[in-house]
Amino acid sequence: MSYDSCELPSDRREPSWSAGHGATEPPGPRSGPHRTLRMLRRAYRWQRRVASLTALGYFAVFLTLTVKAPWLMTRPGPGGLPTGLVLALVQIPVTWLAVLLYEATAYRLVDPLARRARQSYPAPVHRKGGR
Amino acid sequence: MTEFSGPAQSWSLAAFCSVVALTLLLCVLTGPDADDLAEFYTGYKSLSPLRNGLAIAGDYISAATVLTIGGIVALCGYDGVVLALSAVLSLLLLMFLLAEPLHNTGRYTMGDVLGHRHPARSVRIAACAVTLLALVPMMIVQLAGVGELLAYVMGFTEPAAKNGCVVGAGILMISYAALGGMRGTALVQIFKTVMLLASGLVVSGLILHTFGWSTEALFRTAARESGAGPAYLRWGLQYSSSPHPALDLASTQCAIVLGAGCLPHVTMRMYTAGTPRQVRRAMSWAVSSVTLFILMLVLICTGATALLGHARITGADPHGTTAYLLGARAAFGSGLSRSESLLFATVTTAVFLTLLASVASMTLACANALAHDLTASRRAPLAPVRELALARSCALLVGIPVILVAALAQHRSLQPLATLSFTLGASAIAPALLYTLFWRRYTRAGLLATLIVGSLTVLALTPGTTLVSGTPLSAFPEADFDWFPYNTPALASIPAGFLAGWLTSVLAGRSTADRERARYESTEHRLLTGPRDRPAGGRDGS
Repeated sequence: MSYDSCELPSDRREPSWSAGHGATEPPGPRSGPHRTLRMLRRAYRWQRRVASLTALGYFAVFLTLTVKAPWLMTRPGPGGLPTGLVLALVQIPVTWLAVLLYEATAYRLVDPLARRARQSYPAPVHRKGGR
Repeated sequence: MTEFSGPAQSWSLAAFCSVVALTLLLCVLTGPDADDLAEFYTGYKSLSPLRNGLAIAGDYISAATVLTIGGIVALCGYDGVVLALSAVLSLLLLMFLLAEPLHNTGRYTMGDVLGHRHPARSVRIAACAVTLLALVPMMIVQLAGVGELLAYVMGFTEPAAKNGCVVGAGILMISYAALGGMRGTALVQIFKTVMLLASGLVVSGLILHTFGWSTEALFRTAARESGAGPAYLRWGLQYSSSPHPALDLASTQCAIVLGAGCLPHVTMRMYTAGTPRQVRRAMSWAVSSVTLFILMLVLICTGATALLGHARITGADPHGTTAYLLGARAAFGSGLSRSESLLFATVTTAVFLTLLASVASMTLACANALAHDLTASRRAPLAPVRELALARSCALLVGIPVILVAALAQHRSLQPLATLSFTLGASAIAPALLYTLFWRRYTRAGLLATLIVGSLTVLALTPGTTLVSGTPLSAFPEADFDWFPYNTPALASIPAGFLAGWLTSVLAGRSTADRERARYESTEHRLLTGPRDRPAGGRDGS
């Protein structure tokens, strides 16, 4: 999947949600609300990339080993079962662990920033047709 | 041990009737008011994360999971386990990547998410068409499964009785969707998930107890009884007739990992939570429940092979779709006491409810898409009363053809239809959602190209796959027109869907790219923090 640059160049047109913030001092790219949103974007991106790539990476490595290294996957592993089957069944507790970790990191890193971003921005103007 | 004797049948029939009466009553009692659109589409966002999570798990665990994957686990061992794990991974990826952005940008349907970024009638119509294309085949699979299941448990053999079961179940699914809306179907899903998990826990405990609580003994016995020996514990049994087994494995996994979690009847539950944090908590419960169920499915279906052997499972159904029930029946031993009959009736009722509830949710997703997406971009939107009446009529409109096709097709292998749904999810819906939510340069033409090219590639290639014809287990075993030598078209259709969107957007030019970037930035605040018009505080968490 391709992503575009995460930073907002300073010469780019201001997004509509930032236009009506303060009548006296409109927020610039380095001001509070912008900074919070940028930090929130980074936190979300970091969390999503690490979590998804770890989950997908483990599964991809597991599938590659299954197909390309059958000698390794059929060797008796812990508990007497073939290593491949052990690696497959291990994914079940690992999934529960991943969910707990994801929740904990989101609670610590993302939620406070999201709360701050919600408080520091005015309600966005709803566009026609979006419903 | 594979037949259902008198008491078990009577208990099952009584349990089926009670469950149908109870769930219909629930739907009528919790159904929305005649002019309350938000309640019909989202259930007022009143469910706690735990209940919402159980409802998501209920939506996600469908006949394709319990019957199809269960059958593959029982017959092919390792390949089935990998398939079951890819189903878990798909829901996990939905939680990590899409759940919160979907909640933040969507309102009632997938068309709302896509239309929030690209408000246009063409986008809404394409989203609605893809929703129907992805869900209708899956609904046929589920409904035909109900006919087979009832015939098997009740001991029917006549085709007319099976058709009667399909029509009866079809009327029920339309009633759940039309009367209960999102809240009614959520309650049915919660009921189903709890029943499935509770009965599954008991049966897996019994199976493990039979093998002295040793998974090694269970798998080794299953390998011996499967007739395949050590090959049962290695990959490749499912793809043994394929000319390119490794590529076939990869394409099947890609279709499920990318497609299963993106299907609209699962993603529509993301809009029913109150806050982004509630979505996350709900998804945590959903992933945990589905993971537990998959573990039990693996144990029960492997137990079926270990206790009954390959021949008796394929004797009941060549694709092993009854393996879950056979495993549960075998776990209770040869004779059934009254309490064991009751417990076994709980298992059959849980499976029956699984099929009914999933198909009801899919009907609701299709009806919502038809009613909301096709009217949302009108110059003069419909009055809530009329839109709600339209949504209820659409449930009927979608339901009747599905019932007819399911009655006609139930004696054939329906695996190609389930595969078609997953592949469409992976080739059209997944790229459209990922690009829309995360790629700034994504244009409206790119979105339409993704949806259209992804869907058309799947529809063009699926009839040529080996699941449709060319092998004894195909849907048309007597014919041989397979020209695409794989189980699924995912190998070609997923890159086609992603590439179509990327190329169309990249070739659109610099000014269009700048316009799209600005448009993305204007929606980014809502994408990251959620809509302001919903209660942001309140019950944050469970």
